[in-house]
Amino acid sequence: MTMDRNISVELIKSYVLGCLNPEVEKGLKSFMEDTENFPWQELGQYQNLVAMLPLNLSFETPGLEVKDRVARKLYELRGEPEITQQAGEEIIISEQILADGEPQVLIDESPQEFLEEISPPELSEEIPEKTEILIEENLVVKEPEIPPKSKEETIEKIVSPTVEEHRRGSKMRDILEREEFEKRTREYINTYYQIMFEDIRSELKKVFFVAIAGLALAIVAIIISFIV
Amino acid sequence: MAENIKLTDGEVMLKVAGYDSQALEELYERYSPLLFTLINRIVENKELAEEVLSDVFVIIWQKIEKFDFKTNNVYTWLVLLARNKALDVLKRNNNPGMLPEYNDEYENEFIIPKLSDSIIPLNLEKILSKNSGITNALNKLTDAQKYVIELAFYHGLKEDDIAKKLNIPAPTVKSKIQITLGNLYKKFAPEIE
Repeated sequence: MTMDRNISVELIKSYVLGCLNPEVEKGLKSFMEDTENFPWQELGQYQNLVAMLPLNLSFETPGLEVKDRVARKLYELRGEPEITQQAGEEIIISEQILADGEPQVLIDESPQEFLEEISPPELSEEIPEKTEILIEENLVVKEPEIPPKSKEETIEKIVSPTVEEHRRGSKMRDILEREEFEKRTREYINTYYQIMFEDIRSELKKVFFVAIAGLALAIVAIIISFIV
Repeated sequence: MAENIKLTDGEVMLKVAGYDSQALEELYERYSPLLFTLINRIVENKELAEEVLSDVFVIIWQKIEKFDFKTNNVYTWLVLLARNKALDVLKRNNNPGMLPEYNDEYENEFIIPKLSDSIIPLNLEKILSKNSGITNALNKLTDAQKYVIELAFYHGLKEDDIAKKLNIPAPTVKSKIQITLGNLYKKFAPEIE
């Protein structure tokens, strides 16, 4: 691809701002790769220039918890090398199964090849290998620190659970009250029927005694009539 | 931590490359207000901006090998990294499913900035000491120039989109960008050359 140097400088201005239309950007990128005549110095100058644009803004500070969030995310990343190790162990197990004469499974890669494939990419000499350092003790990524909390956070932390507890408390009270109500209702019903049954029973007893007494009188009357 | 305060940005980055978390913390202390302000300006949501900022520092940690220690331009690399990430989040939020899947390859291609091999290093301390001059120069731009820069740099619009939005021909947009950056270049030349 041929491109005039002046044209490429013009394109650089839009490129560093990120507003070059996609097809033109593609052309500029291939020009960058293909030509030795590319104005790299101008590109660098305009990249620096564009990076100064935010200096016009009024700086704000992010919340204190953001640093903790970064630490937490990095802390979580420490698990990645362990996954690699687990994958390695699985391969060894598969190898043992094959050695024991179990039904053979066709494996395209040797365990070593597989490990190489999943190992982190090699870095330049100056930069130590990341995974080693991450495995090597977690020296690097600290435990998330607990920073001093702002007044607002403290209030939130204190107030929110209290409200929650209060809500939980009222729910609990509701449940207890309902149970008490049901218990009392049951007791009331039981007592009511108990009294009612007792009344009936006593009525029946009375009727029974009257009947017995009547029967006894009738028997006495019959006996007297026979004697007379 | 205290010993890192005396280090230059480049030296701090070198320690980050050695996976020194205290160096990353120092870098955070220095750059988080600038990067947070920039990200917040783009996504226009404080909580989201904080989330993106934390992602940016995770990217720095994970992709430190992508930083060019020969040119050693920490300032521009971080600003453009934060901008790229924030614009990506903004576009994904506004148009779900329109962008390719976010993965390692995508991040390397579209989020990690590729600076010129001939770029001169910028130092945050030095830049901030000249901030008032830079701010004055930016404030002297015309409203139209400011708006075009705004749409391109903070909204991530392409030249054609800007032309449609402003209802002006695309060559006019190109011309405004040429003139605006050309003028700024003349004013900032001592700092950026």
